[in-house]
Amino acid sequence: MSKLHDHHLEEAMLYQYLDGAMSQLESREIETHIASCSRCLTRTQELQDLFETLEAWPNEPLTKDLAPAVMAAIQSRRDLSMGFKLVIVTQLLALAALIISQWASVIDALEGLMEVSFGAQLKDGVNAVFTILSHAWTNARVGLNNILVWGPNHDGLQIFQRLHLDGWLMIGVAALLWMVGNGLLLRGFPSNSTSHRRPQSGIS
Amino acid sequence: MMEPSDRDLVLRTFSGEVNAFGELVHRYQTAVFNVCYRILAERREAEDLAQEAFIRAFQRLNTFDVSRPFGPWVRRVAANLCLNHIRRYDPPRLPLNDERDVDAQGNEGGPEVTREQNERDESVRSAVLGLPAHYRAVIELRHFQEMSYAEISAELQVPLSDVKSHLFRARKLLAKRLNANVKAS
Repeated sequence: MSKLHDHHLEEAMLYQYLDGAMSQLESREIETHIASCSRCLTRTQELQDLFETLEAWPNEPLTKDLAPAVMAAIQSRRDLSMGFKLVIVTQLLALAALIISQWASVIDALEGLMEVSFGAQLKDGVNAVFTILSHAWTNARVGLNNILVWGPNHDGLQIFQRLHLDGWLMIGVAALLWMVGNGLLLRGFPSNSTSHRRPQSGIS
Repeated sequence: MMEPSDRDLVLRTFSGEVNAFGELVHRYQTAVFNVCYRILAERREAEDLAQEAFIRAFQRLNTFDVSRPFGPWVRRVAANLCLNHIRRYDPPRLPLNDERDVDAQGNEGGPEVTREQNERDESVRSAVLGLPAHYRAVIELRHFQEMSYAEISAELQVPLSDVKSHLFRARKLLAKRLNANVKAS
């Protein structure tokens, strides 16, 4: 239904008509009125000219090529993404080394928890996994001893075993992996970023 | 040799040929810069945001429908980025000056560009860039991105009634300034 203001169309309605924001019925009513009202016809044409003048404004020229900076930023973010994945892997390895070094205590704690919370089957499953880890750990210790070139009867080995230095060695490896991982993380941080730059005051 | 289509370049980017995206940047950097410039009204900021828009477009390329044209999509990404920027920082309106490094009309057209057309373009430029940020935003989305009222409402997260009233006032202000510029010249 047309809203006529002093028998003429309101400007807001003309805008909506020109924006194509009216129903077919409403548009037909507007067109019927415009066809018979010279004032509204003139006003519609003026608004149409305004739209066309605005939309004919040509593009401002770009004074520098954005592509090199864009591609460099993309490449650097891809490198950061790879670095981040490496950090995650090293952190997980560090965590695994830490757990393996203390696995006996972990099993004891989990056994208690399993009995209370999850029942026999899950407890058996977890035990099976940790049994496998236990064998792996024993083999690793033997391998470590061989790498250290200490024979099974060597005095140094006895000291090593008495002081549980193998466990501490694994903790040290875990700590080293953690530090390496965080070093990689810190180096991977971008040194500057344009997306949070505040507008400069004054004339630019 | 025929130039590869935008679709081909996007598909090549998907397959790992990142340099193909560089060609898309070359094709659309002026258009994207102008989206940013019309909203931000500040050249250096517009260049920065235009760069960021392409980076964001690359990161979100997997959401792009290759059956649709790339240009409007990347312009929307740029508009969205600029609108978020002015929402966060609400920069003060800087006095307009002759920021451009080329002559005022970018006279690549040479003698074909008439003085009258130059004056009209300059008049439109100063009228649009002198609007408040939220008016520039609706003008950009309606007249240059050709979005409907509902789309503008969703983009700006304002009620439909606000979109209509902002557009109404922005256009009235533009008409007033353009008429004033015509009289002044």
